[in-house]
Amino acid sequence: MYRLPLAAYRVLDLGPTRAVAYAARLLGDAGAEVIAVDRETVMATPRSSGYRQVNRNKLGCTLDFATPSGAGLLRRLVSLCDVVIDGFDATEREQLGLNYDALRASRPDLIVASIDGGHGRDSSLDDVVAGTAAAAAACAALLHHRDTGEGQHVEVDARDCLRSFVGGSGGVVSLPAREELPADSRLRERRFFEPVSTMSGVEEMPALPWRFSLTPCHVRLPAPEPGQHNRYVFGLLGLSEAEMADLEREGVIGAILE
Amino acid sequence: MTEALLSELLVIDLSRGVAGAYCCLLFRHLGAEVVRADSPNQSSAGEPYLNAGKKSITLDASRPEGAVLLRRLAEHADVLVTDDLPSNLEYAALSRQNPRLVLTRITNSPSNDDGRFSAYFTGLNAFVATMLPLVKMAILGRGQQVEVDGAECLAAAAFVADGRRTEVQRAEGEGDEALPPAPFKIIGLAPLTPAPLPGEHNDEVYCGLLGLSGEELSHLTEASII
Repeated sequence: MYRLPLAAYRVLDLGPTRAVAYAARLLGDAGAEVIAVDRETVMATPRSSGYRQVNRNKLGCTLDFATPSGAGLLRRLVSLCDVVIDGFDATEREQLGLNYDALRASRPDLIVASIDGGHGRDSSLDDVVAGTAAAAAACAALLHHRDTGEGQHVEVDARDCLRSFVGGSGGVVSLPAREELPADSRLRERRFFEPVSTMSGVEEMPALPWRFSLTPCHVRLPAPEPGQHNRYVFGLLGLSEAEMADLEREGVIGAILE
Repeated sequence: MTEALLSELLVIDLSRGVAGAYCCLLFRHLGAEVVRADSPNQSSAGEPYLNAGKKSITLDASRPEGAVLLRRLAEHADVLVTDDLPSNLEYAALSRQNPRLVLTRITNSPSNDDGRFSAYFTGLNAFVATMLPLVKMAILGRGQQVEVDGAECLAAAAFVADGRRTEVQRAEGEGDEALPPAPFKIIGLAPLTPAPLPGEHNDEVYCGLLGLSGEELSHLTEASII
């Protein structure tokens, strides 16, 4: 009856770290339309279980934004988003021309959340904590935007974040064993696991550990196949079929799937 | 822009565990006014710096007169965070009096034995989960109840983080008793004053905000309700 908490917002996930993917996923879980941009336009690596976890509730497009025409498309995409999340290091950010001021040129009231120091292929605990902190900061910035119309740049340092959670003396953090959790009777009773239809059948995924009385959040979408939503995303930019086909041939965007 | 980000917000911290106190500390970092309600019979639990910048009142909400005061306080509040809501208070009644209230209940709040990470991580989750209804308020025009479960927060993390055990190195020059910095850089972060003594702001909150007389305040103090 009531729409999801962030139903009115669109979020762009520029990667490349798991911390960024997790931050964007939390906003997607809460109902934002999240577009994950994959820079590899030619599909190579098989997708791991961790990848599927941090990319659910998102749409996926493939766009090589290191090319000039790709960068132009990305700028147009940014102008349609409320929040951009990125995890580039300083050098890469400059090379790609994706620092805050450059991004804001596409949309003056943009919110940019940058996470420094996340990891690429594996997700570590830093990624989880930093991703949650970045989602928190993005929500605070959305609240500020709602009241003032202003965007801003928020930043999270993945290493500092986890360290401050453990305390000055350091230590070891243990998480519950993942493989034992599906049998946990309390979690079962609370319906913590939700079924989601994927291309290879129905999969169970852990729910968001937050329950809202008016705007309940659920696992709605499995992680996208690479470029699965290219047609929708590039359609948002007003590209014609012919233009998409040209860009696909040039390797700027990945295949336009049916 | 120098004004704190959430300076218009009033948050009531009714939590006993570290997770709720940390959640409310994050609101304080962003400039919200946070009133912590401590039990009059015991000293504030946990790490005192978790209450930095908050105001403290004493209140025994398990007694009828105390529950009345808490209900009156909740009428003025935007957010109430609790890990142990007294049975004489429930969301339906609180929201009838103040439809805009966001009530955040932390269940399975990690204990001291679970370690600081579990509590802080649950507190951070509670913070995001509380922000979402505040963002949605513009459209919905009303608050809601949010439940955040400590065990579920850790289970959710276990499905994303590879490796069950993570060793975290000692931070240079940082003691255990240091105020944890906000985990994000954002404009409008508020500088925090040291933690208050329990009940330090009883006058200000009970008389100033709720309009109680000095006589009523001393009566409540004698009866150990505050």
